[in-house]
Amino acid sequence: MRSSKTACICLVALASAAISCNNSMIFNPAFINQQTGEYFPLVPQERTGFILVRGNNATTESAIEFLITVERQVASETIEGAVDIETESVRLFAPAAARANDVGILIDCPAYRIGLGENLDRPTTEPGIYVDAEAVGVGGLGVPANVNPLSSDAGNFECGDTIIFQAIEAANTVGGVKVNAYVLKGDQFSEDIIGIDTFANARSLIEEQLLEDE
Amino acid sequence: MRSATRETISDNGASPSATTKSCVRPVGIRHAMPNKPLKRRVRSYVVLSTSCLFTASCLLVCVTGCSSVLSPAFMDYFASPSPGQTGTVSGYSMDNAPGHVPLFLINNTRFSQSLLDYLESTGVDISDPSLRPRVRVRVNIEYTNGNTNTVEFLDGSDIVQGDLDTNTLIVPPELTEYTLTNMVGVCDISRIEPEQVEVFVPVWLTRIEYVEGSDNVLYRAISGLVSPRFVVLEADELDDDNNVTLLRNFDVRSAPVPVNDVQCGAVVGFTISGTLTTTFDTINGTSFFPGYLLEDTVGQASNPGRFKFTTSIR
Repeated sequence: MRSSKTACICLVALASAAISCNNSMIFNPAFINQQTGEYFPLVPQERTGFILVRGNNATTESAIEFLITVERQVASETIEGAVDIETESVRLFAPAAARANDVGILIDCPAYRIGLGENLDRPTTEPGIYVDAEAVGVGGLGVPANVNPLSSDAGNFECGDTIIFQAIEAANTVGGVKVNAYVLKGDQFSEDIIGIDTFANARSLIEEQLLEDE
Repeated sequence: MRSATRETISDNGASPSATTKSCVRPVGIRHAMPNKPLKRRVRSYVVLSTSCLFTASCLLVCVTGCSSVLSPAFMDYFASPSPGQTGTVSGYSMDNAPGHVPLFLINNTRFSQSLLDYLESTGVDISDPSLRPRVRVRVNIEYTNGNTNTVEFLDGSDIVQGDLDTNTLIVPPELTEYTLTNMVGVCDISRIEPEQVEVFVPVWLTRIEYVEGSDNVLYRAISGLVSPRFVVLEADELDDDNNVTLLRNFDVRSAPVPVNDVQCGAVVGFTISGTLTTTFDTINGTSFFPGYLLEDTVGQASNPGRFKFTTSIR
């Protein structure tokens, strides 16, 4: 009697789970997205004109500041037909706390190279991350990321992709942290968004503000 | 799949059935031992102690992590993925992000013409038509799990008046080093609060006071100089009946307010608009420069201009 009751409860629970697995009425959409990745966009995709660059601090204790640099090719003002490299760096502070440990920025396309450290030609000598940082630009041991910059010319990324720099604990490295780079290809994700089309909304918000400004 | 091979031994030491196999721990093993030959008993003890040791090691590893037993360098060699020719790591997966919440700072502020004219007169290049005052907004993000992160948005031009006479100017790194106009957090965010809004005043401000001369007449004299710096913008002061008693930088309706319960996937935009200006004053009545009378509290409070902070969610 007792076992049949338990079996019934299990059956009902299983049926409910099966029916509502993709149902945001019951489950948190964020939870669904972590399981399936189809509720909210994980990549901006080319139509939005963004590249998402995320810094993910997967260490257990160290707050990390990511020094992300973007290089763009612009027409040279001095030499006709030549291109100059325009560099832009941003600092993202990621404490070692769940959710807060993942911060990113949206970069306008096109970008030539994206990497860590102010000088992308020196990934093994220039500081790319700051370990045990206290806030943006405050404290921390600057260590080279030892990650080669990703280049669009080499096909490492395209407009609409997501680039993730993940800091993990590693023995025998300066600061006890090493960095890995990952790319989520925009064209490998469906454009059918079940939830909110986050990055398209972001683009339209900016465009509206620009119009208002003009 | 390996099946359990241990025989179940009953309390009296007899094997109930040669074909019955289970993974149940031997019961009454003490009674069974005297019936076994010495070699078999020793073997049983060795197997038992090895199993215990293995189980204890497994528990230790589970509780404290592999690196407590194995060398971290050894673990790192096997457990950490290494990048391939493309510079990225393949064959390694991360959890999907639960969703993103982008935050934007849109800087629609302007310089007042009087300030631009003064900057030009001091030799600052103001030819760039897209000149914007440098704005710094510190935003606190609180997640549903209670964790927090603080983001510092920075946007605007890096123009600044040079040294005024012999006073040394320390240019803050936030003026020239980097710009951050957006940030993307992951879900779920419970609260986004703009904590502090600052604008960079790019000119030296002269503080003027009245000094009594030998002829018992009050004269204007320079009391001190305030170097170019970020200034915190403040809301107007109100009395108990909500009447404005002192105009500062924000109307109470257009001051920064926190955003609660941000929906996953939403986009939050902070727009700051207004005109950066300063009060101008003079000592001799002919040349005017950015500054204020120490007694002029209204003038001081109005620096560095009127602004509007708008929050939009999409």
